Amino acid sequence: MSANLSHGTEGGIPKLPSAQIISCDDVACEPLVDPIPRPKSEPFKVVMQPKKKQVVLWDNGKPNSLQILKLAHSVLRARGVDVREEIAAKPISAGLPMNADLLAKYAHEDGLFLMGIND
Amino acid sequence: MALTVYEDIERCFEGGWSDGLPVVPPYGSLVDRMLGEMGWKPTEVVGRIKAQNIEIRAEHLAATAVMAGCKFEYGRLLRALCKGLMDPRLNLSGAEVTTGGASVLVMVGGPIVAELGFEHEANALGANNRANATVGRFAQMVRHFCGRGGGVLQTHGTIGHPGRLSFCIAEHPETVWPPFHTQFGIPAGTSAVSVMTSEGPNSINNHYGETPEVILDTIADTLQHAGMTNWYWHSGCSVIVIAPDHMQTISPKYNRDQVRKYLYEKAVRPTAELKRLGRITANPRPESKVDLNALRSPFDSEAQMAFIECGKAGGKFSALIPGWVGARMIISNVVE
Repeated sequence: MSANLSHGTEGGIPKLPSAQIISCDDVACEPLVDPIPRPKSEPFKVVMQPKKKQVVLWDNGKPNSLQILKLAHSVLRARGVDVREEIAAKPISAGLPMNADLLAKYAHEDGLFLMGIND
Repeated sequence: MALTVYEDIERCFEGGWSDGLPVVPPYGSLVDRMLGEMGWKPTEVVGRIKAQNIEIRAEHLAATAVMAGCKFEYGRLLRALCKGLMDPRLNLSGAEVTTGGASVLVMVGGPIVAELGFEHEANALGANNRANATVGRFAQMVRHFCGRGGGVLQTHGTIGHPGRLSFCIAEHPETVWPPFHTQFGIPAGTSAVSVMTSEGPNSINNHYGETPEVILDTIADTLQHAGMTNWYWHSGCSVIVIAPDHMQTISPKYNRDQVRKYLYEKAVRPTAELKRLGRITANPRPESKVDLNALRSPFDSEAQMAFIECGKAGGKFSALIPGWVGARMIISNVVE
């Protein structure tokens, strides 16, 4: 099992940190101050299948990403999968995080969106 | 009472409020006092990471400072440190998730080094000293709690390094060259705290060289080792730690700018050899400026090297701390 967990799993899913911890002695109880910034709302919306039966490939700019995606493009097409012709490229450096505008843009893709990565 | 505190430490472990080491439980009375020293109100928003949809409030940071074991008197330093940690250019969440296993290196300089009792001599890169250990731990805990420890990110560091638990170095209060932070526009005589996302330090040993050039050639050789991450990306900065004995040999002939220029010119390898070694991708992008017929530096410019003076006299060691390639700068802030 992967140990890429902060403090264990629950049903195979990494446990989130406690929202509250209460300290009690013989006389009284007090909540400890939460050190963890929490997302204000659900950060991810999970969609079980894409709206459109098409694969969209996206190059994140790591050194071999484009080569892997080109190969994936041809393999998928050879198997009869609808793959969008254009392989989009991340417009900023691979070393920089996605900004909100980019995330919003790609969140509206109707197809199955696959990002290529490779160091 | 002692049993209650012990149980609270265990509760923090069980609840995921830990960096892997025992923490001081963040009782409200302690956090309030730390907030006062940091000069913030509890719900004040100090930083935001939009992609993760989180706001980092003062009470999160003050609780983390208590948990890391920081003294209340560190508050004003921590306030300036938080400014650096929350600066989007540091790319805190990138450091958390990268395969590169990066830490946040904290560098403290100026009068505050002596005021707060930082170790800047013996084992300066890993001092068994409260100020160094807890301030360094605080920075890593903020990274962790905003990332994997907060349940909003996973971390993919391949091997990481021990600095991901704590990594804080302090510069000598009296330096031969101008203080570290003057390289980032902060005047000498000012207290400052700087941050850089970093890989682990590489020791540079030269005990028998008697000229500045052979010491500098040894440093250059470390900068140009084949495993240097920056060869392809060219985006990371590096901190070069010069300890007193090497400085004694170097400084009579070279000032800091001259050393920077010397190292930039000397620390190069044939690009074709780097490609043969697999250190340059077969399909480089234009911004990586790969010329197979030229010598290649690990840096785009000599300004990507910064120098800090610390360590104890009596050993002829220096060190290279390579920056992580996902952040392009060292961020330096004044401690008010």
